[in-house]
Amino acid sequence: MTSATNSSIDGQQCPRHEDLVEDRLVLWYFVAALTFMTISMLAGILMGLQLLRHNPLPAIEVLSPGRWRMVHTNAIAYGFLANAFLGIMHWVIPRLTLRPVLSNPLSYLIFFAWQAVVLATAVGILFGQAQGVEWGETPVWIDPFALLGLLLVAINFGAPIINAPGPLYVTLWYYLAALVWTFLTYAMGNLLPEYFVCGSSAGAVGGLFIHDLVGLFVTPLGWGMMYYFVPILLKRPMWSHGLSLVGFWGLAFFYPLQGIHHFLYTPIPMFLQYGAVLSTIALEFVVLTVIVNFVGTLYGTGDLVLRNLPLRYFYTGILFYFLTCLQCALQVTLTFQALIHFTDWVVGHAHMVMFGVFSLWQLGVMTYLVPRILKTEWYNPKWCEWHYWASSGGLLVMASDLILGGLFQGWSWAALQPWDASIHLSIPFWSVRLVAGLVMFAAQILFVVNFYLTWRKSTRSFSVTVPATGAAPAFGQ
Amino acid sequence: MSAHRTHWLTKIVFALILTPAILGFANKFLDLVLVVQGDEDGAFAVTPIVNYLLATAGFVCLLLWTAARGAFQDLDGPSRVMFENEQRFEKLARETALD
Ligand code: HEM
Repeated sequence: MTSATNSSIDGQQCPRHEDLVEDRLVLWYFVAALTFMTISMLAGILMGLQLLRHNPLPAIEVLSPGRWRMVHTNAIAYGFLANAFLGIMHWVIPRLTLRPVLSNPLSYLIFFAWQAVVLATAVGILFGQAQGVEWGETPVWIDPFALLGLLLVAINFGAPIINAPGPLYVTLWYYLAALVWTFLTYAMGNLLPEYFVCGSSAGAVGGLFIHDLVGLFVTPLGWGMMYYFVPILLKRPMWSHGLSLVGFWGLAFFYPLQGIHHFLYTPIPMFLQYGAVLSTIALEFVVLTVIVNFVGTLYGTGDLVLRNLPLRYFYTGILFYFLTCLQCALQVTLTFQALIHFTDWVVGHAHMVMFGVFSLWQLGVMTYLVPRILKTEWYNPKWCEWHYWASSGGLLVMASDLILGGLFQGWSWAALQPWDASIHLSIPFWSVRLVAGLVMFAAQILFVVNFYLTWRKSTRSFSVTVPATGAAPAFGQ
Repeated sequence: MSAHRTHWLTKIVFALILTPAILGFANKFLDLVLVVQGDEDGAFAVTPIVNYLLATAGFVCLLLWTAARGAFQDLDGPSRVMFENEQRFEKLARETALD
């Protein structure tokens, strides 16, 4: 990357975008993310079919449903979400800090290494090498490489953030923390239960791991991204930056001990379980501050959400975030937990937060950035609209269906009906889930085709330095 | 929204969060001491708590360091700077596109 060329605007020095951001890498990350999302969704569809007893690949050990399920969750977390976040960070961090990442060759090395890690994980899982930790199924021999990769990511992105003159904008706080948290969370979940602790203790660490993966990796990267893109698209700063800092520090202090709320009614001591319940309730207040802030920022310009597609994605995600937190408030009570534990309520909750919130945000950012990077309008803007409606509509149906189905399953078990009865009553719900999943899948394929055709019609050549942001094409400003 | 209003709102929300947090933390710490002193079976619970304490200690230090560097004096400053920088990027990009 060339050294920053300064241009004078309003008497101030400002580096040029193309000296800061490696646009090509951002696009590559998006391509990788969408590829893994396609694989993951295919695996989800296979798993959905299996639950309806229509496994299209019976009697093939390597492709057995249990393994597909792990490919589904791992490819989404490390293949789709992580890749999309990394691409977006390559855009956001240099623009916020006015500094490029530490090293461009290192960025490319990380890109290829990360794809190798995710692919090796998928292959390892299919060949029966999964590690016995939920969401930490990455085969044991891959863990050191994954950790090294995360360390390099932290160094590459951490350098410009640490060198930026303070005080930091809230996005950078979230990003800085996520870089450290992700490394530590991965190490804790994958190494502690494997080598150091066992029994209930390993269970407690496992709970901490799955929860922290959502709360200390996905959540800070997601909210950090929103605090950057929402003000830009709304053309006004956040309603209150102070309140956003309350949200950040609240997350930092209350999140780490919540994992145990996944293990209520287990042999883990009751005071720890109550502790997790308490800190979950405290976090609900924190979430409220974040949502109030985003609604406050929108105040008076609500119609923009209807007209601007990326903003619509963002605020739809915020609405789903509010709904999932509302669910959390119910789930964390012992009474309610007794009803919904082990049911499809939890699966509905997981899809709502992972797809309804974080994936929709990322798809919104892609919808905004792809034309800006390729310097041409979307091949078919109408398809983008279809993508939005089918994704969010499909998810709404899938999540509501599973949440409702979960309640019926819980009631069936509470009434001490035979297990078969609960399977029987689940069939219609699982069928609806499959149809909704197929709609969501079709939407992503449409997006991928639109992306490909947009890239093909773009005249931008990445070997030549050209301005990265220009007369903003569709959906932008 | 005026800076004054932002200020007292932030303080109220802060108090709302901090009070239950401090109470909860003190209670939890007491429980930890009891577990470590007594019942051997419960001692495994120390792992997640020590995890939490370490993380929290780090964050307390970071918070104090940030406060000492003046990050909480002009709360909306970084937001303004970020927004102005983005507008500069846009202006520069438009100028380059016109050239
Ligand atoms: C084509 C669309 C999809 C279908 C048909 C589908 C289907 C499934 C199925 C059948 C399961 C297993 C449920 C069980 O064990 O009872 C599952 C689990 C899961 N899926 Fe999906 N899925 C889809 C898309 C997604 C997406 C896009 C995400 C994330 C962005 C996602 C995240 C998850 C998670 C986190 C779990 C684990 C839930 C838990 O253990 O509680 N899925 N999915």
